[in-house]
Amino acid sequence: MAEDMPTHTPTKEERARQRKRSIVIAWLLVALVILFFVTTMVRMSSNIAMQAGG
Amino acid sequence: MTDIRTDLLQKDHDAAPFALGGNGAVEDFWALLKPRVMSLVVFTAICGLLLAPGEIHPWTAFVAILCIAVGAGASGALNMAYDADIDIQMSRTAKRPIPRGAIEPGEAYIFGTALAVGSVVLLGLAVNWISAAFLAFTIFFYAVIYTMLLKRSTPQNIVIGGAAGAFPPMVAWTAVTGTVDLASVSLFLIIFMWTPPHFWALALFRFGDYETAGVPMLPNVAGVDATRRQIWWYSLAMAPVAALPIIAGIAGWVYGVAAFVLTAKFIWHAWAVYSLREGQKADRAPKKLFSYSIIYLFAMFVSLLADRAVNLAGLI
Repeated sequence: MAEDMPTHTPTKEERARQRKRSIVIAWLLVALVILFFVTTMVRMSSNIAMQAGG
Repeated sequence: MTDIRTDLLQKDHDAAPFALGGNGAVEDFWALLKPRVMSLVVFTAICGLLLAPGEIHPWTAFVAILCIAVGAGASGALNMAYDADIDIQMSRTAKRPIPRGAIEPGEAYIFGTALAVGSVVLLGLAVNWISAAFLAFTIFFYAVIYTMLLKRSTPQNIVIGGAAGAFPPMVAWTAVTGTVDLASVSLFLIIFMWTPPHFWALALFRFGDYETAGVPMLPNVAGVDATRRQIWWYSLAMAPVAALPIIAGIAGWVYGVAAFVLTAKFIWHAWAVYSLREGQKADRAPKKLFSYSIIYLFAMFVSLLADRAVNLAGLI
């Protein structure tokens, strides 16, 4: 069955596109990590401030 | 309609099986988010955020705007996935990533759904769940109510569907206050009432496109004259709506003067569309109204911000 499946060797242009997509996804993941970290810090600090206040 | 979609997209798929899917460029995925629409959504949401009473941490405000922007992009991707069959038939939309064959509808559905879920969950976790629920409803309204149910079935599609584009400032308002009140509804109504004349002006000089694609826009269902009349009446109805922020207490005379001048000019353009029926001036009138309508919405929200800034600075 697997032998009947059409195969496709990516062209140079397709590889370049794939590489660019991968790089952008990697940067987006880094941005998400930072986003979640800072958001957690902001929420934690505001909760601590609220508890300290009353 | 499903058959047409399958035929059109299958035809392209047969012609270039390896050109389709899994091979979209980053720019193609960006285009799926409808960045121009997104910029207007971001702008009105920022206005909603700044006008809302109460305090919000700057970072939380940034996250709220980011989530609203991503949610808007998700709606755009889901809309393009569903509308690929009609986009391919209209000159204005034929070069979008899916009709062009750069991205498959299935990819766009997954992309859009992932962004929709991500933006709603993040807004809920980082800001509050009321605004998250509101954002979820907005995405649902645009992707399902407008795109799937209204767009192909009624010439009133843009009247009801316009609500989706009007919700973002309310979502942002809710992110700050956690509630919905008359003031936030007034921001919603400004965009809601603006949408029909804006899109019908576009449809007046693009209705050939819509007819080809079988989209029942008002000019190709009720006729050009009926559309001109509707534009006129909706433009008149915008006048009391423009006064609502003053009644709701979020704007003063700075906004009042600006809104009066801006809305008067809108009505003047709408009158030109309604009254001029023949000749070059009649052809140009809907284009002028369409161009002005974009400036109008932007200027109305800038006026609200300017009014707030003047009040905060204690200049009045």
